[in-house]
Amino acid sequence: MPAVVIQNLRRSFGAREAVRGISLEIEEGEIFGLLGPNGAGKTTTISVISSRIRPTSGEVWVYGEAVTGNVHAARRLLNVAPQEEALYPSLTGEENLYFFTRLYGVPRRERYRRIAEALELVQLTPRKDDPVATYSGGMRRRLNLAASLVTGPRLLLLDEPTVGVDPQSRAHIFDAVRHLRAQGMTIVYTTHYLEEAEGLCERIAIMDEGQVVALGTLSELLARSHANEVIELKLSEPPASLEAVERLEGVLRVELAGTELRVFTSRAQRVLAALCTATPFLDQSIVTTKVTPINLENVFIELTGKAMRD
Amino acid sequence: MFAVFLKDLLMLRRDRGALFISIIVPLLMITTIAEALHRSKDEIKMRVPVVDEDQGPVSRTFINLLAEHAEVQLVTRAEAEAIVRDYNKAAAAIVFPEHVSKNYLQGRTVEILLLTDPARNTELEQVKVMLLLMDNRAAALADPFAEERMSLKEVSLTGNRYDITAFEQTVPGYSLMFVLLAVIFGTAMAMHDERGWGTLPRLLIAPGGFTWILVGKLLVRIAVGFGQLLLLLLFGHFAFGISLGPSPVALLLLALVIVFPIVGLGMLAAGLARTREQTLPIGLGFVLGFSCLGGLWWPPWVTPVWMQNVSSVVFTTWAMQGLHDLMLRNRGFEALPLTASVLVANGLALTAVGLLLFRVRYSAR
Repeated sequence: MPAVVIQNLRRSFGAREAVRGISLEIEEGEIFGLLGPNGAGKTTTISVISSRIRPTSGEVWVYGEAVTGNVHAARRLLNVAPQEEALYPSLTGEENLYFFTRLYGVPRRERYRRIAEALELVQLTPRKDDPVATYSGGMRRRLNLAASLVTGPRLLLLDEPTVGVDPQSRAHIFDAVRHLRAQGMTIVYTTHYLEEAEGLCERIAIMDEGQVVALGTLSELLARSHANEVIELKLSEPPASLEAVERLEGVLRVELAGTELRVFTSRAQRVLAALCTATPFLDQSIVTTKVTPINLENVFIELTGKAMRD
Repeated sequence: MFAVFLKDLLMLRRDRGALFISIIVPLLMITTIAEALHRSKDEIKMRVPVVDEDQGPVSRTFINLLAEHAEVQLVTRAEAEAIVRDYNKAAAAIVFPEHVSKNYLQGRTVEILLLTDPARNTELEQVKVMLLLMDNRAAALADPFAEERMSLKEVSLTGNRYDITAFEQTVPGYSLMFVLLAVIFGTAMAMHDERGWGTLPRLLIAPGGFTWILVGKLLVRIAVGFGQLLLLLLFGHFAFGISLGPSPVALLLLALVIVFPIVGLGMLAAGLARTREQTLPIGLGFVLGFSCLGGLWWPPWVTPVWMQNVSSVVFTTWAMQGLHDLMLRNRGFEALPLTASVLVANGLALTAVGLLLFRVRYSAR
C-alpha cells in the first residue's frame, strides 16, 4: 500500500490558487522530495497531507486513511516538523519531547525510551536538561525534528528542515533522516535546496506554481533533459542576439539571464570551440567559462524556465 | 530613534483592529462607569417591600411618606420575606403590624418590624435613614411637639449576623476583580502564546482533536484562578477577619464554579482577538465591564435601573451573590444550587463561543 496517495489536490487561499491539481503517490519507506522555489506550493501540500488545512478539492490518503475523512486515524500515523520551530522555550528539551509523547498517547513505559532514542539521533542528549531557550538555532531545529520523531510516526513530513541551519546541524539532520529511512520510515522532505534533494531523496517531485512539473528518481529527472552537459559563460555584457549561438551544431537550448549564458548540449567541447570561432562578438566578452554535467538545477531551469532562487 | 518610532507607528497602523478596539473599549468603559455613577433623581429610588397589616391611617401616611423616597412595593409578609431572603431583590422589608394606627394615635410607641438582609449593609442603612426621616415627618404632621413614637425591631432573614464590616463588603469584590484580571489575561495570552511559539500547528494536527487540547489548556487556568481566589479570600480572613461562611466545602465548590465563567471569558477574549495586541483592550474591557456591572466595586442598587437589569444577567453579579450568601448570610450548600447552575451555564456558554471563534480562526480550514 502506498504511504500517501494524492488525487487531484487543489487548494486556494482567496483568489490565489496555491496548489493546482496535484496527483502523486508516495511509496512506503522512501524519502520523497518536494522540490521547488518559495511559493511553489510545497508547504500547502504538506499542510494538507498533515490535515492542518483542508483541500479545496481532491483527496489525500495516508496509509489508506482519508485525511478529510477519518482524520484522527490519519493523524496517528504521521507527524510533521514544521518550517518554524515549534517548541516551548521555557521547558527543557526532554520536557518538550515528553509533552509530545503524551499528546500522541505514547504508552507510559515507552515514553522515555523513545525520548532517549530521539535525543540520541539528533545528538542532543548532553543538553536534554537545558531549557530550549538556551539552545542555538541549529539545536532547536534538531529538537524540532526529534519532537516529530518521538511520537513514532510511520510518515514523517519535514518542511524545509535545514533552512537557516548551520552546516554542523545540517549534517546532523541529514544523518538522522538517513537513519530513519534505514528504519523503514516514509519521509516527505520539502526543500528548495537542490543538493539536498539530490543527496537525500529517492524520488523527487519538482513543483512550480502549484503544480508538479516533473516526477521521478534523480536519474529519471536528469534523463528528461536531452543535454548531458551545460556550458556556463559569464559575459562582460549581454549579447544583442542569441540567434547565432542557437544555430550552432550540437546546441540543444540556450538561456540568458543577465550576463550569464547557459548552453545546453551533449557535446560540450565541440560546441565551446564553435562558440569561440563562429561568434567572435561572444568570444570577446567571455569573462569565465565553466562546463558542468547536467544536474537537477539545469533540469529545473529547463522545465520551468526560471532559476530556483526566483 | 526616529526610525524605531516610525516603524512602531507603522506596525500600530497595520493592526487596525487593535487600534480600533483600544479606542472603542476605553470610550465604552468611561461611558458605562459614568452612567453607573450618574444617579438621576428619578432613578435613585430604592425598592422597599412594605407589608401593611395595619391598614390604618398611620400606616398609610407612613407609606405615602416613604413613597417619596423609595419605590414602595405593597406585598404580603410571605412575599416580603421571599423578596429579601430568597430573591435578594431588596435589603429590607418594612412590616406595619396590626394596630399600629390605633396605638400611635393613642400616643403609644409603636414597633415597626424591619425584615433585613444584613449582607446588603449599605442599602440597609439607607432604609433605616428613610424610616427615621419618615418618623420625623409623620410626627410633625400629627403633632409638631410630639416626640418620636416609633421603635424599630430588626429581624435578619438571611442569617444571624447584624454587623457587616467594610472589609467584608469590599474584599470579595476586589478579590474577584483581580481574579478576573489574572485569569482573563492568562487564558487569552496563553492561547496566543501557542501561536507565537509556533506550537499551534503541532497541536492542530495532534490526534484527539484540537478542542480537547484547548480544554486541557483551560483546565490549568481554572486551577490557577481557583487557587488565586482562595488565597485572596484566606488573606482577607486572616488579615481583616472576614467571614468565610459556615461551610468550607461549599466555599471551595463556589470558588470553582466562579472561576469557570471567568476562564470562559478569557477564551472568548482569545477568540475575539486577532492578534496578541488586541487581547489587551478586549481583556481590559471585559475586566472593567464585568466588575462594574457585577457589583464588584459598588452595590448594584446605586446604578441606574437599566444597569441593574443588565447586572442581573451578568455572571459576576451571581458570583458576588454566591460569596455574600456564604460569607455574609452564613448560608451553606443550600445557597449553591441556583447560583452554581447560573455560573456553570455562563461558563459553558462563554467557553463554547470562545472555543468556536478560536477554532474557526486557527484550526483546519
